[in-house]
Amino acid sequence: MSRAALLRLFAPCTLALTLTCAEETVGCLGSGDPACVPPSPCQGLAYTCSNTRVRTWRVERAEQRAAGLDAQASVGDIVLENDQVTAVIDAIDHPHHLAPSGGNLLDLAPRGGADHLNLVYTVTGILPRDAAHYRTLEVIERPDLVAVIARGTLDGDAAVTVTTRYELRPCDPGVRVRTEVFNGGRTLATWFLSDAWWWGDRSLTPFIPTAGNGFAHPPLDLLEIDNSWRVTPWMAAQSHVAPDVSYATLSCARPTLEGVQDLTISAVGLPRTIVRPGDGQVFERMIVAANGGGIAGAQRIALDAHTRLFGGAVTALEGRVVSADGAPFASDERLASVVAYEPDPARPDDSLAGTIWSQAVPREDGSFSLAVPSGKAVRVQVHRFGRATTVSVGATASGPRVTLGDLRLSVPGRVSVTVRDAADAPVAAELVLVPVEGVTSVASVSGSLHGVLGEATCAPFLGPPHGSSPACNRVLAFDGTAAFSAPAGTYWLYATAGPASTLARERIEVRDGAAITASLRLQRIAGLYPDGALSADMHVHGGRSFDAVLPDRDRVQSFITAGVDVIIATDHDVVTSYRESLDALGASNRVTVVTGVEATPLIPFLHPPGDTFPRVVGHFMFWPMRYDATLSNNGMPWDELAEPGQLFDRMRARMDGEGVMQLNHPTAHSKAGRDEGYLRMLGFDPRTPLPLQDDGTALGMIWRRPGGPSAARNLDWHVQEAMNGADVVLNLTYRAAWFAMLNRGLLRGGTANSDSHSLSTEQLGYPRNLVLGAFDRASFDGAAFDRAVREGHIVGTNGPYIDARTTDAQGAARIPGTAAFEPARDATLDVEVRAAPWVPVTEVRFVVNGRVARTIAGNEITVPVDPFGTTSTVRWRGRVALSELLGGRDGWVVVEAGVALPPSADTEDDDGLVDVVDGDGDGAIDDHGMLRPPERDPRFHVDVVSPGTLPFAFTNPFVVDADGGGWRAPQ
Amino acid sequence: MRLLALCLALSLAPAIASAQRCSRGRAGVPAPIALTVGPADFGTTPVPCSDPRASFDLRASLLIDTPDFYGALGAEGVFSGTVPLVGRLWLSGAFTALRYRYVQNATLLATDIGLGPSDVGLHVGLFARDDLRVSTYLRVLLPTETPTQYAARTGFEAGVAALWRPHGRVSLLGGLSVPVEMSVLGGRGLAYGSVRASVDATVLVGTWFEPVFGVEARIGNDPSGAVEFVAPRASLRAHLGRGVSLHLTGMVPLAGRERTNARVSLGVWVGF
Repeated sequence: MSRAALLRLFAPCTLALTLTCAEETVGCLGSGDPACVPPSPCQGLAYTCSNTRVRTWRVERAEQRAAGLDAQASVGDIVLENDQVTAVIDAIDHPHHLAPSGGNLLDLAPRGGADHLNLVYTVTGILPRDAAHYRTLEVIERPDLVAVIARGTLDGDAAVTVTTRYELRPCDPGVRVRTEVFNGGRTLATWFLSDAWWWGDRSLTPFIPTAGNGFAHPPLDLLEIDNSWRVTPWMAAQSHVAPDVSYATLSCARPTLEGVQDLTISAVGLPRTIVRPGDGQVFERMIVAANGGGIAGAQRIALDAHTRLFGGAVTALEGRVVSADGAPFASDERLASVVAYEPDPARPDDSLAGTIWSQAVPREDGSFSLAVPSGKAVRVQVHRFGRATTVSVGATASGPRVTLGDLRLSVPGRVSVTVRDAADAPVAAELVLVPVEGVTSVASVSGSLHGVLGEATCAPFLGPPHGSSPACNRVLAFDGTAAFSAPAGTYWLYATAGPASTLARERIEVRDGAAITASLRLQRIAGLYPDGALSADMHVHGGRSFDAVLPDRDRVQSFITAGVDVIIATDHDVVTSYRESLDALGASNRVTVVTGVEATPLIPFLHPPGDTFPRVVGHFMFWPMRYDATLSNNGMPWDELAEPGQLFDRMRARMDGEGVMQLNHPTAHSKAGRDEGYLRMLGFDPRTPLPLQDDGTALGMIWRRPGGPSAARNLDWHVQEAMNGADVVLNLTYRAAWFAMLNRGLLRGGTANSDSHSLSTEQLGYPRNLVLGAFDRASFDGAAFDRAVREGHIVGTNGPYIDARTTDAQGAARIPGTAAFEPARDATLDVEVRAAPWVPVTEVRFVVNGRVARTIAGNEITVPVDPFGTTSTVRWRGRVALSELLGGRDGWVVVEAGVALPPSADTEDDDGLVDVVDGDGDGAIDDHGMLRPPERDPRFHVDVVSPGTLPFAFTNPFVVDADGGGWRAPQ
Repeated sequence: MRLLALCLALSLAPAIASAQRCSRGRAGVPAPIALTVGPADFGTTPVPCSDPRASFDLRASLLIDTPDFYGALGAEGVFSGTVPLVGRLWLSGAFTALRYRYVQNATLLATDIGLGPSDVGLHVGLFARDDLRVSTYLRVLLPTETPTQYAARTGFEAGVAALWRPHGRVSLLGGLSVPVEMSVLGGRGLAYGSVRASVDATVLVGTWFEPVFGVEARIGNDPSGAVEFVAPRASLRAHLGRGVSLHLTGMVPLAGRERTNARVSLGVWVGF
């Protein structure tokens, strides 16, 4: 044992009744007065400026929200504001995301900038019970400071009191926060008193200056949290969509923070500590924000504060990034991002292997300033298109400033594209670049954001994968034109306007400094999709979702370029309308956007029989919702701690009319301990029929009526996703779940939605629903549309279309739907499968009661000669007698068409659900999705347009009551 | 003050001073089980005899609450002893020289190592005859533990202990006390009081082996439930001669709000 440890062991403070050995003052921990006001945090920091205004107020109007899609303040929330930043503490009854109550830092925007924060909330551990549950807020307003005092307890232990003081003083670049937690219980506790930063996956990228980390962190596994645990002097984060903002935090009482970093959530705070009953902890920190790209803005403030509190000095490394002729590369991280790092001697050119201290995006004049601790020998390196360039310079940080001069980069190649139709009119399209096989390697043009968000399909890397266009390897050409920079290479330049249009491509060679023009032609293929049907994507996210940052303008443009008629706006837990962007783009007459929401419970609470861990109930969709920007989450009710039946009632109170309630991705996996698929959460196994009552099993819970005005059952959703995005493994499980429902007579329409979160993650409209009827989009009848959806008059598809119909006993035509009917004597199922030439179809399947009863394949299927042409769209036409399929018995029939399903297997958990497929055609069932095939493969073009997609369409069921005596379920 | 005066008065009664000793020769003093859920010897029933004694125990505790995703392990080394003063007055003390704690909250775990709490006690013999001893005592819990955040833990315990030897080889030991623990943080105090009782029976087998069986029960002022625990306990003792004895002891709280699954102790004592 070291001498220091021995000294600590026998520290005399233990003999004192009132101790002041820790860095922080005891504050209200040492007071039994429930009204005690904690002292000001971070008293060792003081800032000066010319404008010493500071004020606080409660939000009264929606317009008082800060800029930015993540700004969520609503009426009643409390604003703290000075000349540097605006912070919002949500009202007690406005809980957001994972927090069980309000009283947390909801928004933080630098002056003149935007808010990019989802939420920062206080926790003492990783379980829901460890989150602070505040019950009162108290506002302090003085000339020299404004503050909010939040008082409450831990959510799962009322004996543990939590008091947090948020304070803003004039000139402060951020919020001072002090949290006091008192263990008033009887049990020894291990606390990790910290701030949990809810990033949500695709938004801000967290950063810590530790060797080998920077922006890249080990995967967060809550069961093996030590593997992710890091100690850092401060934490920062940066946005990747304009207007860019950076955030940072540091402890005011200790030189380090500890915790975990992940793109979903970070938590940084005090060391894990055993706290005895009657004892407590204090955590003082500063949370700052700054404008500009990169982490440099907030990181500089944090580093400066750290040196003021704990010693050391800061050196600013200053320079410019310019072209050979001196033109600046300005304010675009695609073209220039500069890092300062201490090199790893073994790999001095690899910034990711060293210790990154700062990173900036050059300002308008190309200048940058990187703050690093004085005395460090660092290298400053320029990155472009997500890759390190050869441009770098070494420097020793000494004195307050080191001038690096100009760092000269070549000018990247510039591509200008026009997309027009046969009549030479501009076509709204999406452009996709892929390296030409055998000429330019994927590895040579792929990229990442300093080690993160390096999506495999983003080659060439044109921009942050989840940001605005150009993103990943995709560019929006909303008005039929686009111009963008690209890394040198030889590419196929594709243009697509959705599966009902042709596909065009051109080979281009991009060279640094060269300008290229390309002209592509697209046209809508007449008669491919039926007249009167509406093409609808009923699961779409934009920047207001906590896990998306795509600006509304780009999102709306993508609605148009994807060629959909109807979008259900379904952001996570917030009601969205896109109204402003629709109007600004003049797009209101080109697409109908229905205001909806995806209920996304995040607080585990449910204990299904036989389950050890608390659960959430997965995701459900609701539309149309009433949008009200004055309400928390624009009118989205709180969706936590509710079973589906309760959720249905809560949501109905905010829905316009009957609308639609949809079960989303029923068998999706959980993420960060949060279940995303209701049926998988309950242990659904397609090998076992679903229970027909609440039989005491977990799955029997679908029959429960958990309470609420309508006494809704948990299974009272209208439709459920049978396809979601391009993940073929999960889609096979959704298909199995839907079939299992139908087999037990639980007739729910099957839907097909993209679940798109950005331009690169799940392509909007792939898949989509063709809602059958005699609709006129220009005079959209929402009630009729919703009724058709509820009744299952839908063909789901990511490309092909199946025209399937039959005749009932009354001689009327029957299209797919969930209502049972008695077929006409000798009725046949008349089917025509159509697809654009670039969408391969190799077989047509007739699924009867969950099993493929007949397959049409081989020479019977027409194969187009030219995938970029307009002919041979009818792939198969034929009829099959219903009696041949059903044998004169009751049952249901679903028609599928597309590429043959890959061999699949349940290899990982023996739950009856597919885990892997043969996604590369090598005969081994060991892939977690469809891999990109070689260029000669007919599926290549589809994979370029929508990576991972297996061309597939399905009808909703024909529910056949053979003798008209009442339909009986097959099982 | 009255209690203190009474103790002093009683202690100055020399006529029965020597009668407060209880040694049985090689088998030493019949002693209750000195293991409970609490700091140091706080809350244990003391020996109602003034025989001088020194002991060292290694103690461990286990708490696994799977449904609550919580677990705690503790280990400590405790020195304790008894020193006669005058007459029927004697002192006891316990000092947790080293303590290790492991506490797990879901997958978050923390450990610490340091000093544990200590206590000192003043005992007064109230009654003594060949087969019966009765004493009263007052203990004070000392805030010697490290590491701690801000608070200090202290407390006091008042109680009576009794020894009845109905047979030469059989001893019954009982205790009743009121331990009050307090955690003091600035001007804020958190106190938990309880009433505890214990009964132990020892049977001397031969000259050196002595099994002990007993039970302890506590009720307290915790709002979540009055019954702290009911815990059967047992000890196996080996008297090695020359006043040296070894023991292996365990207790299992079965009922009540106490979450500790079990505590065990392995120790040695020397009687003088």
